[in-house]
Amino acid sequence: MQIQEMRASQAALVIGVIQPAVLIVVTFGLHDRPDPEVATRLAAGVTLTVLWASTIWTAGGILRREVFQGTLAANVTGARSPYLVVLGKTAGATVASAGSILATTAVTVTALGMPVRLGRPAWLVVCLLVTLASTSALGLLLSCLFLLTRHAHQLSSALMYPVFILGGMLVPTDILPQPARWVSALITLRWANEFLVAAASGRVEVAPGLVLLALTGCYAVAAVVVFGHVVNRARRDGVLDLA
Amino acid sequence: MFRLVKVARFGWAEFAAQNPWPVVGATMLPRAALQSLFFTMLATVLGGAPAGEFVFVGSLAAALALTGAVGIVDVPMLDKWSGTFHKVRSAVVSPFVILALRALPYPIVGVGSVLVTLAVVGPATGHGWLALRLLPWMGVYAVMAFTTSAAGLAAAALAVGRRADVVVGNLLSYLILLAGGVFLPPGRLGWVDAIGVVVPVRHGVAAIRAGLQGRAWLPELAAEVAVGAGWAVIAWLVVTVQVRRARASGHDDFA
Repeated sequence: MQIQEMRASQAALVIGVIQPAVLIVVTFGLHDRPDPEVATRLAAGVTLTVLWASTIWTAGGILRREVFQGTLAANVTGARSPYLVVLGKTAGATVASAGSILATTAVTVTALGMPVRLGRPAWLVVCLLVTLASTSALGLLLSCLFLLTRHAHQLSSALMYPVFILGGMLVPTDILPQPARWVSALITLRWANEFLVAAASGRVEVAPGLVLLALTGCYAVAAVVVFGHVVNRARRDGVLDLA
Repeated sequence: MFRLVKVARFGWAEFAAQNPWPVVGATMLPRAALQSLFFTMLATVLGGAPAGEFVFVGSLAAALALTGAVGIVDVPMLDKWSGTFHKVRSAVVSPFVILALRALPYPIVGVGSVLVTLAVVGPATGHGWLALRLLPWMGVYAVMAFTTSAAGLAAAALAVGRRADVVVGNLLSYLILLAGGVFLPPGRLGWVDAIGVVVPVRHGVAAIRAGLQGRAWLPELAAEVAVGAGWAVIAWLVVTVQVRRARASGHDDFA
């Protein structure tokens, strides 16, 4: 249902097609004739960068849209677990976005004639699945946080670029100041990028994959705790329809 | 004149209601600075110090797209959401002038975001001296703020009846990033250069870069003004057609 809703959304076109296409053209245009190693790293970096942006705008806005549509109370008090409903929606939004982003990236990179590798397809798929799970959990966490403010739209915009800079996807972490690097270590997309680039280059690096899994688990637990807290607070204050 | 001032003051109140000043300070201005920081760092990583310097100058103009292309869409859309365009088109002041004056905060906040970005990102990326050299060129950035806003208003007016406000605003913003000469040097991709001829910011950024290198910059600035005027004419035409259609048929795309 969430995937079908996304298909009709204007934001899906912007996030899934326009943004990745423009970012790829700009990124590859800034680099003069990249070799396969660099091209692969840039393609992976752009894909994950746009995936983060899409997480903020789609999955992150799930609960606020529930409030606007007046369906949050029904979801929370319905027969099915609200965690299941909301997690399903964020996962649907993430999968829908990821599908468009990957398709656009593939078409644009091919059209530009960039020598991107796909060394270990099976490990690429594994990495992708874990990354999608991670961004779904992160989407749910953001969704809960955005419910706490009326200015979620502006807050969403401001949250994009810190992760672009600190996430290690396009900007290497070794050029960041030392205090900023520990922040980078807590961002799952950084480890997803390392795992993805290694797999695409034909190597299997288990360590980034394990860190990615561990952080995903932490995000999921945090999301469940925060969601429960937000809903219970709204129930206690009698403002579930107005959260 | 008094009526025009009243409309402009209303525009500021409307902007402040949509974007309270603490929110502007905490989100909009930092976003512009972080966008510039990201692209400057990326360019330095990919193309070295010269690319970083090139993109830093352009990224200041890209900050204008956040308010002038994306944010400004709210001006006509608010009339649609509130069902108030019938009042606007029957006003004493021309509907286009009303929309233009209500849109005034956006280029002004855009210039503010450029100043903040200059002050913060310049020193942070090792371009402190370049940031000082760019201060005399703030007038050109101000011109670009208005040309971007003219394009944003035209795009928004075109999108109103098609429920495409999100797409159009962001499409214009990404068009500026791609073809505005912000990140890609001219001559890198021919088709991008062809599109860029009518994109706001492109000629303005070229004027600044020419001026910094001691070359003639007035022709590019004139081209930037011409592009902005062209977009303003498009916005005026779309709104005028809407108003005439509404008078003839009783409804318009803002309904």
